[in-house]
Amino acid sequence: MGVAMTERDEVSMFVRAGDDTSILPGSSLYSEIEALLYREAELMDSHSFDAWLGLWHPDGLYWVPSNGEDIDPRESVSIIYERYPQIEDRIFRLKDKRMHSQSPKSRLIRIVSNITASASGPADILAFSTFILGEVRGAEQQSLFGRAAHRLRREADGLRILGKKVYLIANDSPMRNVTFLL
Amino acid sequence: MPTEHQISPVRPASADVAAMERAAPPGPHRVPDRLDVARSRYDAAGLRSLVAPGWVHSAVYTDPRIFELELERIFHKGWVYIGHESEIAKSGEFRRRQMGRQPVIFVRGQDGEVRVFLNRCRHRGAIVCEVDEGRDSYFRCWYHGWTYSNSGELVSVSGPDGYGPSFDARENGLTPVPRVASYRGFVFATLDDAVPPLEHYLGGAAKVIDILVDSAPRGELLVRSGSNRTIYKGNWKQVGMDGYHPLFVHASVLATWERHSDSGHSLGATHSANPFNFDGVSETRDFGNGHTMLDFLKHRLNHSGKFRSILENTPGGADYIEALYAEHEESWADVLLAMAGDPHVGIFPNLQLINNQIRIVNPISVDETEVVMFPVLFANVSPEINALRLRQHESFYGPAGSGSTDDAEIFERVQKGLGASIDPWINISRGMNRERVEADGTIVGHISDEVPQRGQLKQWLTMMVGRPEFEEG
Repeated sequence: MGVAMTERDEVSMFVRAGDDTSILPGSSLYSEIEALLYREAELMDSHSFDAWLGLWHPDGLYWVPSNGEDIDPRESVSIIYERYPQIEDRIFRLKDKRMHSQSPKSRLIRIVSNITASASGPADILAFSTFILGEVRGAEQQSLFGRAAHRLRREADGLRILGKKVYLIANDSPMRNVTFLL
Repeated sequence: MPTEHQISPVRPASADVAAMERAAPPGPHRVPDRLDVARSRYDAAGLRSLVAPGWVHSAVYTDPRIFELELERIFHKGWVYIGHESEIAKSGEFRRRQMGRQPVIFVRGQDGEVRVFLNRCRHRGAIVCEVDEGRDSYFRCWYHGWTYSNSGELVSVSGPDGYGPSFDARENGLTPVPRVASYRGFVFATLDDAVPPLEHYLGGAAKVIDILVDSAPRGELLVRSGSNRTIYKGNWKQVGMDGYHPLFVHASVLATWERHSDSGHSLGATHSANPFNFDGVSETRDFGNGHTMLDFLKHRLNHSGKFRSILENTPGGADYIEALYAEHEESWADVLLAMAGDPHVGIFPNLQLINNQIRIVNPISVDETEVVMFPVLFANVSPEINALRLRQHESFYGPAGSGSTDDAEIFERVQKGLGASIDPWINISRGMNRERVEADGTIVGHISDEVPQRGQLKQWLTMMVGRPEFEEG
């Protein structure tokens, strides 16, 4: 069933395969995924950087495309395209007092909704969700709207984020800093 | 020293101004007297009063009247960068661009010619190109259906009988900008036909653009990888060339580079060993006409092994190095490799070539600026080398990058600070005591010196007063 995880590239990782099985709302697996996405949102909003990093698989890929949703990151520029070591660097800087774009820190609230999920295998899940993210910083308020795709992998101690793709619908428009977690 | 540096032509009847007129001329280590510009008129003498050796008045960055003059005298008059030819490699491909307040279309016609047109229907003025980029045979105004070819001709008017026989379609094509010129694929345009040729304007900066072009095998750049569009609340001239700020603005990034000093996926790879140190050998350059450079060559020649080894560990990297040495003299190939194809140059007023990107600066208002960053890939190299160029770019630039976001934050802090206009002077004197002039007139300073700031301001004043008569000191 599905493509073996090792063969899946950075693009197909976030595309639902035809033979994936839908995970129905109300099922215990759906509730577990939903709880993970809500928990992740809360950790990002509260700048709980280490706890957020703790949700990631060590082979993780964090991808925020630019200029659209379906670009090829090998040929086109992204806003963020980071493997786990670079995600770790991002967290290192977010905790550094000299990261000026987060001094003062953004105040964040996000609403996560419209969750759909499918399984490519017993330990291999793809979840889509939409979000509205409000940011207030230095008397400026901005709203960001987007869709997230999470590739989740079941490890001995629970689900881990193997890949996260965040499509901001304004990603081809002039943007202010988005240096908080997306 | 000319006294008009301090004297505004329209003199508000205030004691401050009277005191100012009596004051000694300012020098780099003496703060000029306060100058209240609230009621001054910006004729040539008034504009000159905003600039003194080593100093610039904050009104240059905060006064909306100055901003309007800048649009008229700099962006609507001089050479402005439009785009790279590879962006519109195929006939019919187009990009929307901006020249100051003028919306323009950068397009390659069916005949293969690259043109720049005002994005404005000749009938009632609507834009005829409503998407940022694309490829089409025609631009159609959907207000009343006037249709233009991608070479600009008016090819159809709806209901032509309503205009009678004297209507000449040939006189109603899209309005071309008066002049378009290209330097090695970099296309510039001007709205004033009276400016000197582009090569004269670029002057010594042209050979620095070569660093990027020659770093691509066969000189073929690919600017077709999208862009990061960012915006900050600050004046457009804040995006300068500054080698004094990284130790402070980018302190958190430098700390990250120290954690993973051999990571190819960061710009730390090309900035190996801090090039910004006060006792380092990196330089600043002012080529004239406002074109300035952070010149890391001497530093990077001492550390070129690191970038070479990153390339050698990237598929296609060894072939790439071989191609550079096959195409160029050994000494120039050494330079290209050491510089990692990074000119780090600013071409006044709206173009920067920094690391792996072309950057366009679009002034929106006196305190708002858009910066569009286009990563540059190379034709004729492996996909892995191009992916590396993208990943290096994203690590530092763009709206979530580690570097340009901190720059934008500091620019906004500056704009807020300049609101304290009671004490209006900005100090840009650093390095005036040690800069030197090379045989071709290029002014050279230490990496941390404000040679670029002074060079850009000199050109700013030249264009604002309309003649090259500004002299420092």
